[in-house]
Amino acid sequence: MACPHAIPAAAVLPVLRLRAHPLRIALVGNPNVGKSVIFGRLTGRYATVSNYPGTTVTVTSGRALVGAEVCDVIDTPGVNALEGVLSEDERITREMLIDGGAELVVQVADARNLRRALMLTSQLADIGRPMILVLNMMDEARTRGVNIDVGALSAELRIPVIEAVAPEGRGMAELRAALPLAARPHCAQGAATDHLTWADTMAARFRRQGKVSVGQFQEWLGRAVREPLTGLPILAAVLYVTYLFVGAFGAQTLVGLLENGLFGTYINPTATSLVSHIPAAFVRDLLVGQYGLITMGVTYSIAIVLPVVSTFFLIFGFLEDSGYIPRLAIFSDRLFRAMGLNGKAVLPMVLGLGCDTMATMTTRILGTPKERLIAITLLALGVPCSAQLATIMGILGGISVFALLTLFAVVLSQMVLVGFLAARALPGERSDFILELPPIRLPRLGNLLKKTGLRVRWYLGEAVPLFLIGTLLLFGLDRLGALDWLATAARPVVTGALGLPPRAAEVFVMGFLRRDYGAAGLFKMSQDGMLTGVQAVVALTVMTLFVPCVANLLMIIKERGVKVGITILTFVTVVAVTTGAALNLALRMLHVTF
Amino acid sequence: MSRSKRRIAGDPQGSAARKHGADQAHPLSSLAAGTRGRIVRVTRDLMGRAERLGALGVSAGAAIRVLQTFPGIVFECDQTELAVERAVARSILVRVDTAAPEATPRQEHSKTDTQDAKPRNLSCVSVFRLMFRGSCREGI
Repeated sequence: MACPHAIPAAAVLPVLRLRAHPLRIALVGNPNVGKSVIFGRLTGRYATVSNYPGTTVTVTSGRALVGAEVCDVIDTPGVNALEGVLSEDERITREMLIDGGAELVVQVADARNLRRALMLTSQLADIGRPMILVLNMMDEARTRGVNIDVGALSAELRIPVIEAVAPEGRGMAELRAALPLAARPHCAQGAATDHLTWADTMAARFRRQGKVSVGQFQEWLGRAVREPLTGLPILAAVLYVTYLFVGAFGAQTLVGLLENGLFGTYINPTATSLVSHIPAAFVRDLLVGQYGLITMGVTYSIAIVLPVVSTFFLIFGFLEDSGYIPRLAIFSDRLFRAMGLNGKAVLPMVLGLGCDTMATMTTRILGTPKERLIAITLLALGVPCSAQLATIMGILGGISVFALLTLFAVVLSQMVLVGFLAARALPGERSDFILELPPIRLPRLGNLLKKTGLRVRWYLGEAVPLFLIGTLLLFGLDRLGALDWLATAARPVVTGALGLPPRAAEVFVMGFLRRDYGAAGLFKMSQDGMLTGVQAVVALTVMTLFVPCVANLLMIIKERGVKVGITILTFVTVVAVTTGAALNLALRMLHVTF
Repeated sequence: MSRSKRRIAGDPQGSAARKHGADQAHPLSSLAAGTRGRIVRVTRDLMGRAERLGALGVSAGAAIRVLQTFPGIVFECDQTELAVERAVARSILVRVDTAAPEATPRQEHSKTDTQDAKPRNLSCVSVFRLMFRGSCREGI
């Protein structure tokens, strides 16, 4: 029965309007303009911030409170264009904008580059979401003499335009206040004018170039690192300082303090004496035996790898934020071109030194599928990640610098060889080398510490459980007698071809889980005097050429499919063992002792 | 940094200038470090090179300054510092800004687009560059 007082639903607005989901706000903009900083400011969540284009390669989202409204803020990979030829990360952003349900767009722009930003504004206007323009880095723009008539620009585009210096939080309150005022931009472009022409006209109208007061030192440093005559010595110095800090201070001093000091004299004896009260021998062995969770798992991950990983992340973060890494592309372009890539590939390769899994994702910034495949293979094959670098430096640093150089020379030449062959064997093209160089900046201590802290925490959360699982696996295999069987089965390869002691077989089992864990096993063996110099170099070379870890393999499969994943795994394993055998033979024939 | 306000309209004038020879458009790959100018046009190809460059702001009318020519070409285009390979630089045609003091178009007699060092700029870098001149040309 119909209610006599029924009012048509459209006649009154409901007091409470319920939405199925929070308002989705997408942060979009050119690469390296500070989207992730603004994301962090709005949501309180930290998205990795660095000073090079391509830090963000996935869509990250977080909640933000705007007034009383809860919003979902989405951080996207930087884009130079949303139309035409797009790289994979640009495609991700475009898809998110078109069918990812972004209801509101906040375009973040580098105020110095108004013209490029407006080109994007014009393309965003075509997509047709209400938007706001944030002109970030206003401070740097002013020092470079760029003045923008923000009021007039806002009036012309008919959208709010906010001036901001995001790392200092300037403009963030204004941005929040302006969110409700977002509108569809008015880009008066007909069929006659394209995005470029329109952006040109607009930039010319609203931007004035004044006196430049850019720091002389910044300019000078920027030039020094990219000119070969000064840049190459600087590169050598950077590598040397990294070695001193990570290889000497981290891998020797800190590891010594933690392993012998903390674990050797306090934790392990205490744990052993506590555990000795447990009646079951099985449990005792599980915790503090030869393959004990505490004596092996925790000791390896905390005492041996953690110090080196932390020191490495610290110096790596510094280099990331300074804007130095992309400049290496200028020197390496020619080499990478021989490998079917271009200088841009230096970014994923150097990032691989931090974590190969993350770097596999960063290959999205490369232009063509062929380039991505080659880069992913090279990462899996040759680039040691921080944890592994740690153990390499720990072992070989104790033997001789020459041993370290041999390892790197072998691994590097394998990478070049494989890349060179892949460039010719695989179908497809390489893309042009066109790379934007970020400004040289002094890293902010806050960001540096935060980033390092998060990465160390990530290491603890990601690697330590795998270390423990690995230890458990070894313990189980040992109990079942499978370890002896495995050592016998692998004897032809391990002791025969590679010339290693039989125990090295179990280290390679560990290496399949995470190669740094395997390397940590080698570290232990070499400490116990079970490895000669040559054996250490051979074993580490094989370990370095393995696929980094289970996580990396899964990432390769996620990015490129199961078939490619299995192919890369097989290929890399074969190359690793063959190279190791050849190296062993060569070193023995030449009677090299390190 | 004094920027000339003069604008060059895209394609037609560029080709006209080339015909007259006096106010020529030079490929970016042939310009010496320190040269300032404006882009006349970017040669189109099938791989979308011009589009890629355009998205970075490298398009007709943009003011540029050459910063470095070896081992790769580094230039500043409207506040963006870009590094490109030689083949890309060859497709960017620039009209050299003669008003700026350090802007010197390269001498006509050098046939290749390898770097032609200005006498006063003959630093150790130029010597180094000359040593590598062979490898400097389109390598791989």
